[in-house]
Amino acid sequence: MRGVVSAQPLLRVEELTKHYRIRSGGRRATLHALDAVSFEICPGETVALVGESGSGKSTAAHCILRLEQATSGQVTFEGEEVTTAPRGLLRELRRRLQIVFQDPTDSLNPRRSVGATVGEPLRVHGMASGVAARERVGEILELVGLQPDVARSYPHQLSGGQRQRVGIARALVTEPSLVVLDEPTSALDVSVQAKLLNLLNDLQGRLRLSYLFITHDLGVVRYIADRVLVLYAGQIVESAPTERLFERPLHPYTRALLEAVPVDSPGQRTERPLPRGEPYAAIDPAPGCRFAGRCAWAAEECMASVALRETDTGHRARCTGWFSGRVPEPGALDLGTTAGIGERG
Amino acid sequence: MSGSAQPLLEIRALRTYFDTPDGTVKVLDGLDLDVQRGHIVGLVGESGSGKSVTAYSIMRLVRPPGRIAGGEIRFAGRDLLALRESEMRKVRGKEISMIFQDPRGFLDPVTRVGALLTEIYRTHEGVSRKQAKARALEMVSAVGLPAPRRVMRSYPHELSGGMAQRAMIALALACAPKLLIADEPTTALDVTIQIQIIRLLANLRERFGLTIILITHNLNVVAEICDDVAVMYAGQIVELGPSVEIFERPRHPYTVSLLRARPTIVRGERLADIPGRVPDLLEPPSGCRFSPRCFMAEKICCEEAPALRPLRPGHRSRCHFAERLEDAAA
Repeated sequence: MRGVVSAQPLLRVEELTKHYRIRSGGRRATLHALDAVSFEICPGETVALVGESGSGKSTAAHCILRLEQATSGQVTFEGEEVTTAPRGLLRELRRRLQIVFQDPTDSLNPRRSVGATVGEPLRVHGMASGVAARERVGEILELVGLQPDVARSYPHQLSGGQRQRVGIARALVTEPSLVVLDEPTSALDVSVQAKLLNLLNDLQGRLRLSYLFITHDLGVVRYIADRVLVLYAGQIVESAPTERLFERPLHPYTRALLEAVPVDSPGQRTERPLPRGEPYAAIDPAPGCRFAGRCAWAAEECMASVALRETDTGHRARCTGWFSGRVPEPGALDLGTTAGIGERG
Repeated sequence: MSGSAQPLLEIRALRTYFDTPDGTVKVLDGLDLDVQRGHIVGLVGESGSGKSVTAYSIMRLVRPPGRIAGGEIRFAGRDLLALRESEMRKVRGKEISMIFQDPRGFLDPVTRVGALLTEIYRTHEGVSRKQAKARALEMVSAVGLPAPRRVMRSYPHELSGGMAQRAMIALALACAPKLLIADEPTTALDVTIQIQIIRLLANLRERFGLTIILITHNLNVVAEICDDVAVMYAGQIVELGPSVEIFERPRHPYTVSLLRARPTIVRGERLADIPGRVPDLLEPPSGCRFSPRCFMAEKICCEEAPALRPLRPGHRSRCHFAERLEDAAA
């Protein structure tokens, strides 16, 4: 962990819930995209939100920034409540709470020059205009490793990596304290991803930023995050400091995720259990564990509702079987492969 | 690559060009590749390296403004580039099949999976409807689709991404091809589904004696199942060899750079990125195409194009100074 992490949280998410009314098989149903998700992010900290399709990770990002209205729950940012903030306050909060989307191609207006795109937040927030704004845009482009004259370019003239840098520049131009990164490197090649991860690390050190890093890539998580939240079917099923989670994954879903990561080198190949089934969308979910249908240790007791409980300091899991002693220590599982995630030969 | 047997596929000096208003883009410029029978060969490289164009060239499905400008693609002893289109049609699907990143874009949205598959068996094997249906059901089970009977009655949009990819694999294998080309088959899938599909491909190789070319940008997927690896850069293969060799003793600076660019476990440590960007194939750099970005380039690298030359049995590299990487890579 770099930088000083103070105890006062920058962002506090409490019982954040987002339900959608949908039709399923011709009947009305409720999709529980996000169910009572709670966590905090401290200044200077990077928290990873990990999950597969339908886990609710992007819904969480949208509800935190109030790009979507949550069904219930509270989001507090720098001491102000985002969920109920009136327009003026919300705009002020969004100056300090920014987002970078996965696909820079979709999130940049193709008919606007890079300079106009990056400078827009300055205008919206009344922070700068005219020459001052242009100078600020130039500075921020340099900060993210682009030539200032890129300001005159249009998105189609840039590579994927450059476009993602523009997305980051746009997010940073208003001097935020927290940036939500929604799969920022998923669409990029490995060498471009490396450049971007280096950049995010540099910027964090220089600007004392906090990140909420949303991803499905566990290699990236291990590299970038201080703490990890594992999301499954709208619920956090496990949360822990990064190294702890990789060394001692308690929830069977976390274990399945780690075992599913392909090895780094052919020499590390091992026989390991294949994850069963497919990610699950919580449509009118039963009260019990949402992973039970794919879990090797599922039993009768898993049908009852289960809370996220602390197992030791800072490490929490939502698993009845773990706390009742039925789910064995992860030592029983061959971590020889998963321990090698990201390791160089 | 290892083994003295005749490779199933031998590509020699393949050139695939795209004619654009600005000039001719040499997307593939002298590609050499051998694929041994029964092997899974990983074709890796970043966007624009020519991986997919290689696949389309093998299938002879390059569309204008693209064209195959020269070279040889020998498949099971025949030069595919010398075949008439009518003969090539018999090769596609029957002898060489292909699957893609987005199976839903390939499955007919208004035809049930079972009907598609049954039709293939009826047409290609001339068996009765009942027999064809039985064969279809067998194949649906072989690719690990749960509740095969229900899947047979499903439309593609009713299947999840992972199930649709399994259905696509079933269709691709229906005519018992010798070679399967899988173009980024797991890129759009979740982590837990990705591993299921790559293990499935490995199992099908054993079961049907398949040979597979796996096109991917994900080095870890290659590490997980490929026997051999071919690393592509700017329209050429720059390194080629058994997987263990390539991952543990890489002999091309680009391969070394790619391997090192993956996130390390050490939190916060700088990742080794590759300076610059992929070259413009309208005007590729003179000499070695990787030289402008290479950490060990010398004068000769910018002047003389290196050949893909053998270093050890089955291991070849397109680098003047491959031997210098002897110890550095470890």
